[in-house]
Amino acid sequence: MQRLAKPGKTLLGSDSHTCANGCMGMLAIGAGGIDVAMAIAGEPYYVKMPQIMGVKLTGDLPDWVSAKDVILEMLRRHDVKGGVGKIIEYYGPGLKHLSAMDRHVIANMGAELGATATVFPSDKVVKQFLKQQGREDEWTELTPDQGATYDIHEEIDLSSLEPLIAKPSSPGNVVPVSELKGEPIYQSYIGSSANPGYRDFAIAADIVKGKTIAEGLSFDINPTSRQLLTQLVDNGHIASLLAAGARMHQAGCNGCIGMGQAPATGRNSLRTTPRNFPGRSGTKEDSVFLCSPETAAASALTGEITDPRTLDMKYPTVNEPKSDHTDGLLEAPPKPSGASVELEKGPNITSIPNFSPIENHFELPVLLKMGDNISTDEILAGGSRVLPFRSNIQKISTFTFEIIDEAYYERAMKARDDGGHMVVGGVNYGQGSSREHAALAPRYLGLKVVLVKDFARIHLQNLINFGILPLRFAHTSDYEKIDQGTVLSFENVHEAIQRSNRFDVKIKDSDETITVEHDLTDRHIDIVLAGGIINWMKNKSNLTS
Amino acid sequence: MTGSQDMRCKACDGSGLLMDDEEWRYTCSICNGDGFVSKYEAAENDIVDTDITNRTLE
Repeated sequence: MQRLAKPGKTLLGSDSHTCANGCMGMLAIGAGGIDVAMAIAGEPYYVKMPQIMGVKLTGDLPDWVSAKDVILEMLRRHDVKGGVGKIIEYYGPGLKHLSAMDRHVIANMGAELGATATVFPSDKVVKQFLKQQGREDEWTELTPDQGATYDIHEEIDLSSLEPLIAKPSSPGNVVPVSELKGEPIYQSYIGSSANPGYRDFAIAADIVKGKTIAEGLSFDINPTSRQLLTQLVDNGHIASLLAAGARMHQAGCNGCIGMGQAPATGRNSLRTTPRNFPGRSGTKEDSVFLCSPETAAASALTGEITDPRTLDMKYPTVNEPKSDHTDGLLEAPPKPSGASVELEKGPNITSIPNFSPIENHFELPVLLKMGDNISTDEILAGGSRVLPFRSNIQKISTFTFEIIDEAYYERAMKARDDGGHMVVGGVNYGQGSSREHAALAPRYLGLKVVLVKDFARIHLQNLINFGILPLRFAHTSDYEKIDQGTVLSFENVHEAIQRSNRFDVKIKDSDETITVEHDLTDRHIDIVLAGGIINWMKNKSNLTS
Repeated sequence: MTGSQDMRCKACDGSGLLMDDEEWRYTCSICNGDGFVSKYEAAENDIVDTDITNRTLE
């Protein structure tokens, strides 16, 4: 937001909180790694047109209530799936009371609503922010049309809000802070993309200034950029925090994603972070509450969940300093042409091998027959044993399907030399985490076809992206005809998948056939026949170069 | 202590936590967070939703 966001532009990023940049009048969407790579290569990003939820903001935030309470109110009303398939657009007279960073706070946790994106207008407030960053010339005005209508209407009277808090273990589990008054806490955590601004840290510093935090409490401060940290130092806020007993950490995500500062099991942790799903903090049985910096700082003083309005002090006023720091980037920007740049790779960073396109006629043994709801954790778990090798396809593939069958890797490597293999599954195959390695690793081992009763949507896309043919049983009873070791014969596959979404496959050494179906679009078919999206992209580049 | 009926969960290596593609931690879905998988324990395949941005919904 500070250095790169521009009004009127689209932004695709591999972080789920990319959407925060909607605060600047951008269409900012989080997506998977391969989608982002394709966009960098100039390809469009495809998304089903969302509905637009218009949220009219009126009134003004009372003292001690801040932007975090606005998005917590949205979560209270709509919960974690309430934004799915929607873009949330904020408008109305209440907007003028929200700074650009306030809007960042609100747009950021649109991800927790499940929204595709969140959009704010690019108005004088955004212009002022860009001016403070020395980027005023990058501002353009972008506001809703007169009389714009929305698919869904919502309204929030900012004046009616009170300090809110999300209880463990969901961002949607929101109640007034006053309902939890007196609950003891062990940790208070300031920072993260959900409260990243100067105001968020400065207000916490002013609340604890001249006082001492509660005994036995860990008050953790995680600045969100070097630029911000420098401003906080220059304006005395770091000194206030340290004097009160805070622990300073370097700028970064840190404890928000479980990288350090993990709370003690079952002990309450108050955080200004965006998520409190079980285990996110790095502690299995954690008890994490999500709140505003005001609530977190007030509670740090008392050692228990505290409504900041009950503090015996005037609500601090924070003035944004002018930013004259342009050293946000430690390294120089990339050169205009990357052709001469030498990539230095460590031993655990290898190249993705070239995958051959799928053949037209082939026979494949079934190396695994699985049941329902096979998750990507069962295909390739993202644990500490495995993830260090995520850039080393040769190594990470050794862990594929080990949860289900430890011998799979050996069988797959043998079958790879003979043309590859297929697997069979039940309903909802590939559910859970979106990790692409759950398709890439088996593909490396020679997986060419996945035949199931039905697919989880994201894993289906990953299979296509890596050139694996995803098929469904037209008659689920045919699942019983196949066992591990069965060999299926595929004839004229190229023509078959283009001609129709249904064709027959023969069981080798028998008279039986199985009818299979696919849900591939024309684009998906092109990608699968090319051997995956990377090949498809390379072929396109050769045609146009 | 590991009993003969229980095995250290391979997925999470006994930690009870896995990570998604952004390194967000989550409770291991294989052992349900306790770090061990008992051979007498029936596998629970809870259905997990994902949203349009490829993220797990919980």
